[in-house]
Amino acid sequence: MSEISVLLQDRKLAYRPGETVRGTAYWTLGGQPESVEVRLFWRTEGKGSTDTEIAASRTFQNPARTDRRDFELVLPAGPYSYAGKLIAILWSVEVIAEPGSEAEHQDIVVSPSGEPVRPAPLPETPK
Amino acid sequence: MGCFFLALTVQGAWRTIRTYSWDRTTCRMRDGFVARAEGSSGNYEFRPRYTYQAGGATREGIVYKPGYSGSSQAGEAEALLSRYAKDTDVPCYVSGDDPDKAALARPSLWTLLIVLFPLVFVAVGVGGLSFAWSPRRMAPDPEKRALSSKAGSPLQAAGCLAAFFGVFLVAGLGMSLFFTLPALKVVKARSWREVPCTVIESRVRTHSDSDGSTYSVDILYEYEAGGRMRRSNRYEFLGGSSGGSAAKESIVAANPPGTRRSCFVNPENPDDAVMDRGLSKTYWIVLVPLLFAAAGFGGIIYAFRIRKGGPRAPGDAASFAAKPAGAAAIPSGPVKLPTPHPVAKVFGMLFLALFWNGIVSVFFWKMLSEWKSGGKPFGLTCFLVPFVLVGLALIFGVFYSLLAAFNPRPSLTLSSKAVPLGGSATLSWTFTGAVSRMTTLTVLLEGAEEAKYRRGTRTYTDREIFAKIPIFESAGAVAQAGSADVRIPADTMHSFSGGSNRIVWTLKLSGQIPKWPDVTESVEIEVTPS
Repeated sequence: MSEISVLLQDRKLAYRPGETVRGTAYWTLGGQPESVEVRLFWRTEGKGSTDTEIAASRTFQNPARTDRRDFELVLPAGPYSYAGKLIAILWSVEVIAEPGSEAEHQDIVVSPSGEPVRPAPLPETPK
Repeated sequence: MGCFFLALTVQGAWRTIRTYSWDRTTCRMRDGFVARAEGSSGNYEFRPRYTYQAGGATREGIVYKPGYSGSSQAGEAEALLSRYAKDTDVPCYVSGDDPDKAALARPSLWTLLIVLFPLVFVAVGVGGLSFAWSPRRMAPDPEKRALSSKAGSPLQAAGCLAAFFGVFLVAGLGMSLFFTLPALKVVKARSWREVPCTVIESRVRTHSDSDGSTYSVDILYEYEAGGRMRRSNRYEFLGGSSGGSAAKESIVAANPPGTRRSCFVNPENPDDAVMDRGLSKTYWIVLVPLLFAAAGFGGIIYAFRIRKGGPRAPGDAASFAAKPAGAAAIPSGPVKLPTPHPVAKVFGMLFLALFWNGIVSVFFWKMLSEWKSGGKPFGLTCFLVPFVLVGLALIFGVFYSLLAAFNPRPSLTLSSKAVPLGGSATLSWTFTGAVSRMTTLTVLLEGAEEAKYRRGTRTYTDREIFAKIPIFESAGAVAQAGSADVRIPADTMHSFSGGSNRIVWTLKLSGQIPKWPDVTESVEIEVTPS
């Protein structure tokens, strides 16, 4: 039975754009991994088809079957975490072990305020 | 199902291949003639009679080619009659297993390509089964699969879109060949020899299948060329059949049996003849498949342009998202905002109207011809009503955009290419044309979410406006030029383009003209993170 986990430094889950995400990846795998990688990425959720883009990643050298590694990844300027009516933009840190693409992720918020951007409701249009 | 059809086609292919093991020998042509095939096809068949030596005896053969079923063109059968002239020695093929089986020609090996057709179905079936049963598909815990790996390749998406439009391009070009090739023959036939010809048979041929009936002119005529009498039933170069029999009936009525008139013969091939070498208005139908081809070509260009402009790939210069904070280099200085030329709008609308109505007209004329011929196609009529209404709306749109093309035209300039959240820029505009016709002018900045998704084979885009910021509203007469500040709130969302999902900021300019289409311009601007 494989286990993978991600722990972010100081259990911090909200970041400003450009900040560095620090943490530790832990794993115990069923077999010797070919590679273990940590990725900082955003994805969309909502009505539209899912879009995903990896903003930063790091591959750990010579990973053992049971191991732990520290990582540092720098956030880009955007996009901000967003919670709209049709679209949500979510940021995550994910650890992936190959073969088998077994993975575990930790969602984070990226915005200047520490909260996902939520558009204010439009004022009522006078009839 | 695919395997069943594959078995049938392989069986046919095997029969073709076996004829290539037959012995080549010499046959003596005894006689031959052209006759109409029995049954519903009405094809003209070349029916030869020849003798050959096999198995120590003289035998008689009557098969031209295994599987031969004649041709709708009498001229093609007549050409075979010329080629296999009486009392000539010609090469032929005799089965080694059964010397009574002989033929003057063998089926082309190109016909073996038909095996590929059911093979595609078999491949899809086998592929689907192997995908459904593959170990990867049966992974025990799909929840543990990587989320970041679900990103579709933008090149792949562009390729899929290009392939979709490629079907339009290929089908359009392929269909247009049915009209362009005969049109080329019309040009070539300008130098053909004019000869007197006599109509032998004259009728409107009906081609019926499960989709209904189509009609073609079938006039068999006789003419003298190359030292003997020959027959042809080619009325014009545009072959095939179509709906509506009235025009064809009138052609047949004008050429009853016994009519003597002029026909045209290819000087290089006396069996190649035509009665009418003119370019009829039917040839203009070529524009319909060419519209498909143009739409396909435009779609392919669009697919690769959005790939080129899409900010998806990490490191792409267009994507601020992949750059470290503060590294997003935004060109400063005023930038002219691109607005489509009104003539481009008219042509765009015209193209759309022609494309839509071109497709709908095929079914519309079919429906009309059914009503005219006494049928009552209520189902088809009800089905077509919304499509015809959309077509009429598009025609209205063409005239509307044509009127709007005479409106005053704004030229828009923004003081910087992108505006950061919490920042501002100056929008300037200058009108060309009679600006005095406008009674009001408003400029609005609109923020909207756009989500593209698929349902079945169709792609939809939903749009949700989340911000409307008034920028300018004229008081009194509208001036030839003006400017206003565009301020972006700090607590809203910046522009974003992920491929299927977008957040767009649009400047909307609207000028009202009484009893005339309004001046409307929409132009996207880029709002960047602060």
